[in-house]
Amino acid sequence: MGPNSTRITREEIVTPPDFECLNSANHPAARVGGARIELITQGKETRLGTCYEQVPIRLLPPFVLDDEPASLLYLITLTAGLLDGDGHRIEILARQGTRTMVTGQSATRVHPARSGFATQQWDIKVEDDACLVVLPGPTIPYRGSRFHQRGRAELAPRARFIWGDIWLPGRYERGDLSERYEFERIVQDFEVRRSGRLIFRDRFRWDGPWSTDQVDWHVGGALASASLFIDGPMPKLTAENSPNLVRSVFPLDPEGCCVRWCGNPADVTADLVRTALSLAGEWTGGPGAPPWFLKSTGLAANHWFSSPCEDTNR
Amino acid sequence: MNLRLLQIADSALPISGYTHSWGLEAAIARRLVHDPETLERWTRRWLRASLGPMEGVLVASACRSAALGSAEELRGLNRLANASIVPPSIRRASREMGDQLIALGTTWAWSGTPLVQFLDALIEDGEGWHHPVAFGLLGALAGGSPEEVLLTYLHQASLGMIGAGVRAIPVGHTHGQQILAYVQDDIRDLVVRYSDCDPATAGAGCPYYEVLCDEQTRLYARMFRS
Repeated sequence: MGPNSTRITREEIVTPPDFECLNSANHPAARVGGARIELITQGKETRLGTCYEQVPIRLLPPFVLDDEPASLLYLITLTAGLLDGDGHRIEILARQGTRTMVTGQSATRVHPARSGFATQQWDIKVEDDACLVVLPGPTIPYRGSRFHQRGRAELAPRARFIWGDIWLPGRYERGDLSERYEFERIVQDFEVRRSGRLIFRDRFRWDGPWSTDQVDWHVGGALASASLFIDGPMPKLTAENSPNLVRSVFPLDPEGCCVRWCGNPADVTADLVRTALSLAGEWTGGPGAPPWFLKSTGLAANHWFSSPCEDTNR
Repeated sequence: MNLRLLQIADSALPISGYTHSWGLEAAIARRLVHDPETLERWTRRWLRASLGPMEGVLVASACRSAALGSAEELRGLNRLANASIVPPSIRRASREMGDQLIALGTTWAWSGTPLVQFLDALIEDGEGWHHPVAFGLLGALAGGSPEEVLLTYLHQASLGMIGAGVRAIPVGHTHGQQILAYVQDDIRDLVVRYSDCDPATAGAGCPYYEVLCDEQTRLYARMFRS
């Protein structure tokens, strides 16, 4: 991978074995797009280097705030979400010393599939002494949707990296029209390598719609599940078992850690974001440093990752 | 009948297997499992959603790789298992049982000599053998096809889970054997589904099950190590 202005084509979109019988290329309205992003340092700030963006993905210039040690880069999707046959490819190269949070502007809505599937594919490289947090935002798989998320991250020996996934059950608060785990299939395929060695892998295929029994098994009957991969100095984080969520922390072998959540969507989202950004804050600012962005005076509190309880403390 | 497969399917194997419940004890503590009916449901869901798509795929893949004599592929499967099994208690259990099984296999006349070429390949890594990879390897050396070896593995794993339930809930042995009989159709289905899968598709995605596995390690008094 390397940031360049080469057009993103369907040939770069990987089809998993689970969807090989489908042909997204035949869908007349399907769109292939994405971005190739290089993050560089300019002085103490992280800025965009060479970048390429292709509809329906657009990049906002990174937010560089006076009181923040990192830059905030938004990936904007110009369409209503991922529609049948759509393929987004996002390449990120975080150069040495950069500090960045990359996120989407809202949840990713995956629309029903008729003949194919929708996919979002990430290819990430993090160089030494760079600190990259990627929180794509919650995924909302609509009734009858087929979705493939693929992620590959390659970390240099001293790179620090956080990746977070939040899975919601669909449009779950619409009265009689509510969707709860009625997707057709979700395939997650995420791998992290450090210096070429596989250190974490999150691979699953969820076939829906789920019965109550399946919802209980997979997510404990909850409306949200989430996962955070962390590679850097280990967090002081413990398991939690409260009425609104359960959280477990799993040290990996030989390095890194994975945190899993099941629970109420708002609580799970807030806890995942707080965990990720608090840790990034400590990595870059030392023990006791504030979390990235959550207490910033330069950001309004209307971002998907804004935490209501953090806002009241401002 | 393949006596070698029958041997590795013994309920006493792998040595130390009886010390694990694979999260069942936490489910009992939460009253999710409390009688024969709920134990059957738990075992069936574990087979279909967790063990089959993850370890099951690895067993069949390891069997194929071993039949081809590919130590490199086996090493890749072992690394895949290590990076994919998230709860440390389950990861350790998998490695300990795999190592025990291989150690035992080295002492058997039918498997000792052919194991040597594969053991040398893994020594470099120093990681130990994950149980599904070790089981697939020994199954291939036993002359089993991927379908037979996977069938054997799933049956033995079911027996281990049900046996843990019989002791921990507790339920009677008669009920335990009934449950084993009831999940046989599930085992056959899983063999059809997973015996020929690309190992790159191995994986389960059951966060709540993993949370239970983690909870088990913090139970005040527990019978099992996982």
